[in-house]
Amino acid sequence: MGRFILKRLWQTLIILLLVSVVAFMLIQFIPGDPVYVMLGENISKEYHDTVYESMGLNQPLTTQYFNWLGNMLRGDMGYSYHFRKNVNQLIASRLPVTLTLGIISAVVSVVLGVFFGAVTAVKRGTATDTTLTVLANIGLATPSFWIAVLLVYIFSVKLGWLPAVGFTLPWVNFQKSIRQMILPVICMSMGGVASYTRQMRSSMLEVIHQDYVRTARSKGLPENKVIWRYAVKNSLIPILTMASTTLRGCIGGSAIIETMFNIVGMGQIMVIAINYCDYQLLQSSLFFMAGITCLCNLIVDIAYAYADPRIRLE
Amino acid sequence: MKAISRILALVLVLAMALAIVPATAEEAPQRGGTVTIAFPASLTNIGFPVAGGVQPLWASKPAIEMLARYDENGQIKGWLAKEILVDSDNLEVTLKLQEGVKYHDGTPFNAQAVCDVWQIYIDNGSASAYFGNVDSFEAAGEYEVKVKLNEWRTSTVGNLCIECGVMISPTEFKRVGLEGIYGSVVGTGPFKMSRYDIAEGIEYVRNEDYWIEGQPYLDGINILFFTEESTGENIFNTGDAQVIFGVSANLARRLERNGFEKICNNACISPTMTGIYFASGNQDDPISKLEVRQAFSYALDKQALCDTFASGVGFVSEQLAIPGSKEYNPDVKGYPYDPEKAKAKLQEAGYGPGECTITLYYQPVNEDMFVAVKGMLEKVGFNVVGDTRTGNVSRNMVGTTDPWTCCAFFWAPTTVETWHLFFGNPPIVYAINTIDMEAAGIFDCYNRCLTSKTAEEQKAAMMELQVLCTDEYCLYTPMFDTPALINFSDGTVRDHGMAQTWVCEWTPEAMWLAQ
Amino acid sequence: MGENLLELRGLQTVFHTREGLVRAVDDVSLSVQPGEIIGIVGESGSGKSVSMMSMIKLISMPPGEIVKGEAIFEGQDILRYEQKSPELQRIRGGGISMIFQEPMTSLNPVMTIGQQIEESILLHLKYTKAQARARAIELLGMVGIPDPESRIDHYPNQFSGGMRQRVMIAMAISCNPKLLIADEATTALDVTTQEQILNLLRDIVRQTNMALIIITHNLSIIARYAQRIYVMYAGNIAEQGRSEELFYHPSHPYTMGLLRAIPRLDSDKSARLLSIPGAPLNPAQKTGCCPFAPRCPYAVDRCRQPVMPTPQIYSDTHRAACWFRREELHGGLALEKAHTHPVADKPLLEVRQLCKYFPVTKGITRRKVGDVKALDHVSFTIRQGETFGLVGESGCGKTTLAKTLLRLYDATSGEIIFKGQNIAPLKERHLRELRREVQFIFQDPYGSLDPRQTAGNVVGEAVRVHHLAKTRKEYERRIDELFTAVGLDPALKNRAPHEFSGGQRQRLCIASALASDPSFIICDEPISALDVSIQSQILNLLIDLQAERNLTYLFIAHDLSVVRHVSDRIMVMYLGTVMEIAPWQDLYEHPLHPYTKALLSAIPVPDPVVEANRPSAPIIGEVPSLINRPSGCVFHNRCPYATERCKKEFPPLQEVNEDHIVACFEWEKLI
Repeated sequence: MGRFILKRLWQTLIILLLVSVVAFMLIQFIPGDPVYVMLGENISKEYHDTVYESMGLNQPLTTQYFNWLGNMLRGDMGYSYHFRKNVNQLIASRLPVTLTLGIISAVVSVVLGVFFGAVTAVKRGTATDTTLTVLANIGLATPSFWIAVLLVYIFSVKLGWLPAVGFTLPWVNFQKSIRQMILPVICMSMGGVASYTRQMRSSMLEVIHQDYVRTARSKGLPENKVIWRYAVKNSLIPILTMASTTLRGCIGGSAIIETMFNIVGMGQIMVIAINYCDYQLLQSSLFFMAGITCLCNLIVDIAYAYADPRIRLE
Repeated sequence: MKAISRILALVLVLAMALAIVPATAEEAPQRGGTVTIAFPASLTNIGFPVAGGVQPLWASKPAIEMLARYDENGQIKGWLAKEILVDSDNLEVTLKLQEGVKYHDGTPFNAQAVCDVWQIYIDNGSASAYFGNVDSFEAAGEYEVKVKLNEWRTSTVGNLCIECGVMISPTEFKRVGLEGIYGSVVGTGPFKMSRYDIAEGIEYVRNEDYWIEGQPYLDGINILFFTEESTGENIFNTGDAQVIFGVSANLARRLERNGFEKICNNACISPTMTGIYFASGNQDDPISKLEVRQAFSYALDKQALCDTFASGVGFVSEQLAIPGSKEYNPDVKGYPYDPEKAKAKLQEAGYGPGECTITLYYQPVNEDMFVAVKGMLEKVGFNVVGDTRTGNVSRNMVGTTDPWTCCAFFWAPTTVETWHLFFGNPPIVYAINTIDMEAAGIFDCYNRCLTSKTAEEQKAAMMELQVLCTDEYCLYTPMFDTPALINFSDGTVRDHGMAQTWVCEWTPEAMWLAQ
Repeated sequence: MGENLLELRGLQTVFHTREGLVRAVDDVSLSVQPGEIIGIVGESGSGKSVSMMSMIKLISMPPGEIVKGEAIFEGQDILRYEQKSPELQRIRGGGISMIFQEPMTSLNPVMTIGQQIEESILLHLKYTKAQARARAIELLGMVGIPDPESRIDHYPNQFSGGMRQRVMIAMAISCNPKLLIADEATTALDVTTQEQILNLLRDIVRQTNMALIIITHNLSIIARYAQRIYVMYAGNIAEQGRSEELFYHPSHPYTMGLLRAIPRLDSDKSARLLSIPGAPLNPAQKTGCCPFAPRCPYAVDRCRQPVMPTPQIYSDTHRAACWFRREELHGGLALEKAHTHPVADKPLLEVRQLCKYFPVTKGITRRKVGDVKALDHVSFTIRQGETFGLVGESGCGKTTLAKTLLRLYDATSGEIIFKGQNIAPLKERHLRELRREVQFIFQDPYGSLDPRQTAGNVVGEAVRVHHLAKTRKEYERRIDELFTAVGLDPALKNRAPHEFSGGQRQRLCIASALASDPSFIICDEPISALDVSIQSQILNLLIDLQAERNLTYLFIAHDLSVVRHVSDRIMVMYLGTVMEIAPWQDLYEHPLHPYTKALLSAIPVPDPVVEANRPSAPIIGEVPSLINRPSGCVFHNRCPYATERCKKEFPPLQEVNEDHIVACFEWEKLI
C-alpha cells in the first residue's frame, strides 16, 4: 500500500510539472507585450517597465520558469494586477467558497446517485426504475446552466422561495448559507447524480448477477444484506473511479455555475483573470487548481485501492 | 331596495374613482432601508475614480462628492463648491466652498484640500490635459480657491469641478498611496464605505456626520457586482436589488416590457451615434458635391436602420446630438427619408441612375448594415462599392490632402466635450478636403463652441455648428443613437437623481426607499 | 433404506423468455438420504443446476417460475416458502448449502475469507464473534488450507483457484448443513486439483453424515464418487440408478450413447467413437414427447407422440424414461473401425530448445525485472501424418507453444524447423507460405468466428487470402466442398455464425482451417468447450479428415483420455518444460515421470468397479504460478520422490528407449 501511494505520488509530481510548463507557457503565447495586453495601452512607459521587470519578463525563459516554479513551491503565487492583491490572498479568500460548494455538490452527487442507482437496479423493470432512468438521461443531457436558468426562474423569480444569487460560508451564517446553496448545488450535482445513477445502475446489475451474490444468497443472507453488503459495496468500486472526475468537475468546472449565481469563487476569479488578461493570476490559479485536481485524483486512487483489495494487494 | 342598490352603486363608483386617483404627487421622504444596486462589473479602482471612467465614478458616489453637479439644463451648478465665480476677463475662477464639511476620516474639507486633490490629479492621473489652460491655483482663504487661467475655454469649469472635482481625502491618499487609494473610498459623501470586495461588491453605511442636516435618508447602499447579465437580471427580478445599472439593450427591452421603471434620461446616458461620414481629398469625386452627399442622406431610411440595428432601444436623430441635450438644435431639418428627393438631388449633381459610383468602407462585423445601406443607395441610383479596409487606414488618410475619398461608418459620442474622442478628432476634420472648411466658417464655429465665455454664446455656437455641418454642407449623415448604460428600478426608489442630468450623476443623499 | 433427507416431487420450473416458454425443469423427482452421495449428470441446458437452484429459489424470478412440485426437506415442503422469506433463508446455508463452479468469482472480492465464513456462522448458529472466528479457522484447517490462523484475514484474490474452492467448501459446511450441493464444483480446476477437492468432499461426507449432490457433465467423475446417479436430458430425468446399474446396464438410449461417446483411459482405441447425432434439445422447443426422440437411433412413431414415456423399472433404484425395455434396444450402434492413418518417418516439424520468455516490467520506466518462462527449452519432433498429443495443466505452456509455432509470438530462442526450414527467425513477409501450410483450431468456437460475416465468408477467407480459387464459381464450389467435408449442409453458408450451434460452429472453424489446404493443423483444446455428446462427433471428424487429407495434428488438451484416443505420440508438459514424450501405449501403460503418473491417476474412469480398484495416489498442492516457478526440476515441490538434487538441478531429457523420453533423475528407481 505504501509503495502504491509512493508510486502515485511520483506520477502526480510529474503531472504537476507538466501542468506548470503549460501554465507558464500561457504568457509566452500572448501576442505582443503581455504588460500592455494586461494593463491596457494607456499606462505610462515607466509603469510598464516596472511591471515588466516585476514580472521578470526581461529574464531568459528558463530563468523565468524556474523563478516562477521556485516561487510557487515557496508558496508565493505572484501578484494579481487586476485585483491589486497577492494571488495567495486571493486564493485564500476564494478557495473556501469553491471547495465548500464543490465538495457539497460532489457528496450530493455521489450519495443521491448511488442511492438512485441502487434503487433502479433493485427495482429493475418497474415504474420506479423507468422514471428514474428517464430522469437520469434527461439530467445527463441537460446543460447545467440551463437547469440554473430554469430553477432560478421557478424558485427565485416566480415563487420567491430561494435567493437567486450569492454565497455565504456556512460558518458565517448557516441558515442563509443553506438557502443560497440549494440552487447552485442542485445545478452542479444534477449531471453527477444522473451519471452516478446510470453508472451505479449498470454496475449494480452487473454485480447482482455475479457469482458471489448468488453465493451470498445461497448462504441464506437476508436480501437487504445481500444488496447492501454485497451488491452495493462491490458496485461502488467502479463508482469510485468516477468520483475523481466528479470532484474535479465540481471544483474546477464550477466557473459557469459560479458566474450564473454570482458566487465569487475560484471559477469566477479565473474567468475574471481571463477577461482582464491577468496572466499571473491565471497562471498561478491554473497551476493551483491543477494541484488540487491531482490531489483529488490521488485521494480517490488511494480510496479505490483501499476499497478493492485486488488492487491494494497487487 | 332600488334606492339601496343605487346608493351601493354610487359608493362603488366613488370607491373606484378614489382608487384611480394618483397618490399625492409630492411624497415626503421616508427614512431607513438599504438600497441594493446590481452592477455589471467587478470594479477595482473605485477610490480614485477619475481615471477609470463612468463605472468607478458612479459606484464611488455615495462616499465621494464632487465640487459641482449638472442641473436640469445641463449647466454646471455648485455642490461642494457652493459658488463658482468667473471674473469678467474669463481668466480667473473663484470657488467658494461649503463650510463645515468633513471627510469621513476627520480631515476638514477646505480650500487646501481642494488644491491637494488637484495636485494628486496632476501628479498621478492622466488628467493633466484638464489643467492645460490653468496657470496656477491657490487657497485664497479657508473656504476660497482661486484659479488663474492663461486662456479661457468653455470646458474649464467642467474640467475643474467635474472631471477633476472628485474630492477624495488627501490625508487618505498620503496614508495609503496611489495603489492603496484604488481600494479605499474616503470622501465627504452621505455614506461611508464599510466593506469593499473587488469581486463581490461595495457596501456603504450612512454617514451620521453628513453636512446636510437630516440627510441621507437611507441606512445604507449596497452595490452588488455581477459578471453575467442574466445573473444581474435574476438579482433584479427576485427583488434582491432595487436598481440595476447599465443594462444591455436586450435586457432593457425585456425590463421595459415587464413594466419596470427606466430611470435615466436618454440625453444623459452617453448614447453612441451611428452614422456615415463623408471625406474627400479629390475635388472631382462625387462625394465632393453637396448634392451627392444630400442625395446619399435622403436615400437612407434611418428609422428602418434603427429598428434593425439598435436592438429596439435606439432612436433616430438627424444631427450629431440627442434630442433634448444641450447640443441639440431643434431647427435642424436634416434629411428625412425621401427616395424621390434623393433621385432628384443625384440628377441635380449631374448623375443619371448608375452613373455615380461611391466607395463605402465598413468593418466585416457590420456587413449586415453595409448591405442594408447599399440596398437603399442603389434603389435611388447609386453604384456602391464595399471595402473593408477601415480603422487605421482611413484614420491616417482622412484629414490629409491626399486624393482620398470615402464614405465610412462611424460610431461617435454626441456631446461637444467628447467630440474629440471621435477618432481622436472632431468629426468636421474628416471632411477637410470635402469642402473648404475655413471658408465655410466651420472651424471658427467649432472653436467658438470650445471657447465661448458665456453659456449663451456657447449655445449659439453649437446651434450654428449643427446647422452648418448638417443642413448647409452635409458633412455626415447621422442615422441613429443607441443608448448605453440604461438603469432600471423596481419603482420603490425615489429621488435617486440617476442619470437625470449627467451620465455619472445620482443623488444618494436625497434617495429614499418607499416601503 | 432410511428416511429420505430430501424428496423432490414433480418439480417443474419454467423461464419466460423472449423466445417463449422454456421448460428448464420438467417434472423432476429425486430423493437423497443422509450421508449419501448422488450425482446428477447432464449436458448444458439439461436442467441439472436449475432443478437444484429452484429448490431453494436461487433462480431469478421473474423470468423464472416454479410451476409446480414439492420439495420435502426434513419433512417440510420448502417450495412453499417465499423467495425472500426468513424460513427459506434459514434453510439456505443452514440446511442446504451450495458450492458453485467458478471459484474465482464465487467469493466476494472485497471481504476477507474469514468475514465471509464468519458471516454464515453468525447467521445460522448462535455463536459469538470469537467463536465464529475459531470455527472458521477450524474449518479452513479441515479443508486443507495451510496456516489458517493467518490466512483467514486474506482476501479471495490472494488464493489460487483450488484454494478458493476449499474456502467455498469451508463456507458451505460451516453451519453443518444436512445437504451439500456441488454444482460443477471442480469443472474449472486442473485435473490434479479436481481430484483433491472431490476427495475432500467425500471425506467430509464420511465424517459428518451430510448428504452430497454432485452436479456435473462429466460421467467419469460420478463413477468414482456417487452411489446413485440421475441422468438428465432437456429438463427431464432420463435415467436413474445406482452407479453400477447405470454404468453396466445403461437402459436409456441417451445414457448408452453418452457412455459410448466418451473416450476412456481403458477403451479400445482402434474403434471409432460412437457419437450421438445432432445437438442437445433446446428446452424451449420441447413438444411433450420424449425429448431425446429426435436423436435416438431407436425412435419409433410412438416416441414422437406428445406423451412422455412411462418409465421402465429395472429395480428399486433403477429406472429409465423410455418406451422400450433395454432388451428391446439393439442394433444401430455397431462399432466401426476407426480410420487408420499412415505415419511417415520423415519429421514434419522439429522444435529444438525453444524458449519463450515474457518480460516482467516494473514502475513507470517499465524496467525489466525478470522473465516469465512460458516455454523453457522445449524440444520435440512431429512426424509427417501423425497426431502429436500435448497434455498439461494450466500454465504448462500449451497455448504459448501453439502461438509460438504459428509465429503469433516471436520465440525468445531456439529453432522451429518446419519442412526443413527454420521458421523461427523469418520475417512476417516470408511467412505467407507457412500461414497457408499451418492452420489452427482454437478452443472457443464462439469467439473465433467473426459475427458480422456469413459462414461462407468465414470459411472462404483463407481461399481468398491465398488466391486458391481462380474464378467465382471455383470459389463457390470449393466452399461447398469444405462444408460437405466437415459435415455441414452447403445451403447454410449464407447464415451468420451465431445461427449455428456450438458443434456446428466448431465444424465451421475446422472448415476454415482446411480451406487453405494445410498439411499441419494445431488443435488447441478443440472440444473442451463443447457438450459431451458433441465432443465425439468432432473427434471423429478430425480423425476422418486426417485419414482423408493426410494431415498432421498437434493436438493440445488437458483431458488425457481424449488425447490418448487421438494421439500417436504424446508429450506431457509442466510449467513450460517437457516432462515426458512417449508413444501413447507406453505413456499410459508405463508412465515414467512422476507427474505423468499423478496425472493419469487423477483422471477418473467412467466405471465404478475400475475406479474402486484403482490405486489413488493424489499429488499434493496445486500448479504454481509461472512467476513463482520452482528452481531445479519445476515439479520437485509436488513430487513425492523428489531428492535434494531435484531442487537444484534441472533434469535433462533422457532417452529411455527409442521414442520414449523423460526428464527425471529418478525414473529408473520408480519403475
